[in-house]
Amino acid sequence: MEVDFKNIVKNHFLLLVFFLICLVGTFTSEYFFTLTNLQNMIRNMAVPGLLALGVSFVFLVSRIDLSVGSLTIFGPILAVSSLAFFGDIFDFKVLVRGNQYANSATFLVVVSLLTGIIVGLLNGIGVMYGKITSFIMTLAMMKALWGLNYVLTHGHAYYLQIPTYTWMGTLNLFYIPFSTWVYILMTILAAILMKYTLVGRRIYSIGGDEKTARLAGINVTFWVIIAFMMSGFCASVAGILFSSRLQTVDAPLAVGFELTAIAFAVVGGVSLTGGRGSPYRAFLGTIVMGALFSLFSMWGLNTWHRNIVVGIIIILVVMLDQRKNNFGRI
Amino acid sequence: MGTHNDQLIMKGISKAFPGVKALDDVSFEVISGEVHSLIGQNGAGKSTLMGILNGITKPDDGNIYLNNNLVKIDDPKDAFNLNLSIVHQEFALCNNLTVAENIYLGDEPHSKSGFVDYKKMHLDAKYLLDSINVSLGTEEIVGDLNTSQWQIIEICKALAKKPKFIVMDEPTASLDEKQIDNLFDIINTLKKNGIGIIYISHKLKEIIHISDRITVLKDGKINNSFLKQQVNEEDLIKSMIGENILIKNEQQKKIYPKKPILEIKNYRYSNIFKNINIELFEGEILGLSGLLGSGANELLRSIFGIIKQDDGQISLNSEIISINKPRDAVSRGIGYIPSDRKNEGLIQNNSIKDNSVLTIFEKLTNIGFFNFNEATKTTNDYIKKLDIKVSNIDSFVMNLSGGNQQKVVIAKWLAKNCRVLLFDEPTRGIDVAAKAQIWKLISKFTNEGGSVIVASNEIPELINNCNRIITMQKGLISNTFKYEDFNEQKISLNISSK
Repeated sequence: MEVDFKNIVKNHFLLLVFFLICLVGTFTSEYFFTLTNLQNMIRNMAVPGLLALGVSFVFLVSRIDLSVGSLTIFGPILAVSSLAFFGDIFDFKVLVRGNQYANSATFLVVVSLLTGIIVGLLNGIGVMYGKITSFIMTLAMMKALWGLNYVLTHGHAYYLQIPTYTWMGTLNLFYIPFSTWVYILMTILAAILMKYTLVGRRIYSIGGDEKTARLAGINVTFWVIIAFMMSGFCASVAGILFSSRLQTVDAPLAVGFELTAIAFAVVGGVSLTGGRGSPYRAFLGTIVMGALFSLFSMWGLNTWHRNIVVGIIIILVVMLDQRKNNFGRI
Repeated sequence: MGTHNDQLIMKGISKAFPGVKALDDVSFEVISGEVHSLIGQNGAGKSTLMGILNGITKPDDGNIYLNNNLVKIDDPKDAFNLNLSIVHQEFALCNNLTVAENIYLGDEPHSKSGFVDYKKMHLDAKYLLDSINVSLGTEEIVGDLNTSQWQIIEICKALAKKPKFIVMDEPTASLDEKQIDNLFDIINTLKKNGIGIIYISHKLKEIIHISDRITVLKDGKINNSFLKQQVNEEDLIKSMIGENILIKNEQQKKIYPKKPILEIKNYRYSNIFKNINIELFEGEILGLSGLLGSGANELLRSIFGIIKQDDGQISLNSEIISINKPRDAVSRGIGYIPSDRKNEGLIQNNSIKDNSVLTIFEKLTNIGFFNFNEATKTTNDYIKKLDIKVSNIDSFVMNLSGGNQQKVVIAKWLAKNCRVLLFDEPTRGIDVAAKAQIWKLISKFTNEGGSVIVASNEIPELINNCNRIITMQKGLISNTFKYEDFNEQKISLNISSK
């Protein structure tokens, strides 16, 4: 079989960019290529990476999810505050059955995950049955959750010193942080789901042409809701990893994460208009931007400068994307 | 395949939309192994009837029976379960997916755990394409293919469902003659396999050729039913519109002054078209005929500045001009009526008024304020002039029929006082009566000194209306016919690709 180098370069261009950034980092900073920094770099990719993965599902069905930022921290906040509430009753233990008590970390994880899925479900229902544009629906959800975050925490941080919970943010397995393992595993699962199963076919067809999908007998309403739920699920997994790393839940945390996630996905080549992109694309966007962020910290640039660069990169990437095929378009 | 005596009957179907009775007590049936055609003008109720059969529209009254059993079709999935598939007139394809994925959309071969069996999918698709003698890569992305290939994919999509009945809605709209013959072979094969076909088309010759039975809908009612042997084209036209309209422009014989208004020299765009030299005279209707891929449509688009030619120059009234974008063409008084009315010709969810005065917003604006009265006046003028049937000029254009929509597009350019109009397939998807009116408008425009280029594949229409016809083949001008030399066969020969 003939090897099509041009196509390989085209499809994996961002991978080259990633290695280029790492190379530049290695030569311009003595700290870049150290175990600690590399571990930090890939650990920091996990949370925005998971969010980018989540919003990709929603992008693929030609919709947008702005609620993932607030949702990231809402899951743990809801879990912790209900734990505090039940803790008063059950002496900081959660009764499961008879005289059995659940580990509070399990409780946090389960409640967070359920919260993400339910919020995703609500987003999906609002969009499909309420006929609210996804932008408005998820913007409203973002605002509401943001408010709820403050209400539930009374504006103060909760400290989560539960060793059975916080290990997730600190543990390294074979030198690779646990968060990163989770992120990689979920990306692989998502990639398989999208490429080889019916779930992927349904989602791509809706993003390609919703009317066509409907005429082919596909339950568009159901699958769009599923896409929102997958996004919500990813956001809550991100939230668990995030809060276990910081050992804190606080309302102002994770503000603006939705836009970072969208930026990562777009840079990777996930199209906002639906049907184009994949979990792998979201992954590429994440590692490139993650490496770039790490490089900036090595150079001593702060978030202010970083944001300027992110803005410019997004404009460039979308411009390049638009140039690809515009034959005969007005 | 189904047993060979299945019978699908729609009985007493009625449907009203706000203000219109779309269907009034219509009954229609199709049995295995026959082609039953459904014809009628736009707005006669064909689409509504098929929408009901496919579960997109809900009837107000009436029932559907399969082999004398009452069936309910509430959404496309139900139709699918009854082994009923539809080849839609408008392509329903996902441009981001491959040929095979599109063919098996919604019904992908898969394992119990939900993993798609790509190998089987591609093999099946290949088998299906082979069975109708089409060579097309199953791995190709649909967005990269052309419209006639899309049509084939649409047909394969319908066949993939192993249907007992197929509805074909204008399946030949974007096929050339050879492909149409191919399609008819496919249809004959399907008939032999005991599949019942409902065939919808505006092309009466085809209808008579392929049908066993023909039913004519007029204003939501069954007007007539014919068996194949009993009918000719004229009967069908009479039955569809009540009278026989001859599309004939008597003005074309007039001797127009040989004053060139638009001259195109050595136009070339990539490998789409090259060496194009055209002169358009004042008051002339110039036909431009070429099949898909001949470059005729692209040439028109490049004259209007939608695509920029690589080489060549254009002059208007002997003055060399440069057209880099549509705005340049518009400011020189050149208007373009696109074939894709819905997306390019009209702003669907704007009012008739807004669409009609779209080109003259500046003229209607005084020191920054829009003159609504003047806009209404202008619109009403053109509605009267062009005989556009509307109840309210503030209602959306998407509610108009194809013919009336086309007139709104024309009104937009007339309002701008254009001297040259470029028509791209002006009568595609428009019923016979509206076609005649569109041609009448074109000839009226030229009688008043305007000049027109019409790109079209409706050769009889061109012959009846144009002063000259230029044929194109594979990006080159293959011949130019003067009025005296018009001959349908010769022209067809000059456009068909060998």
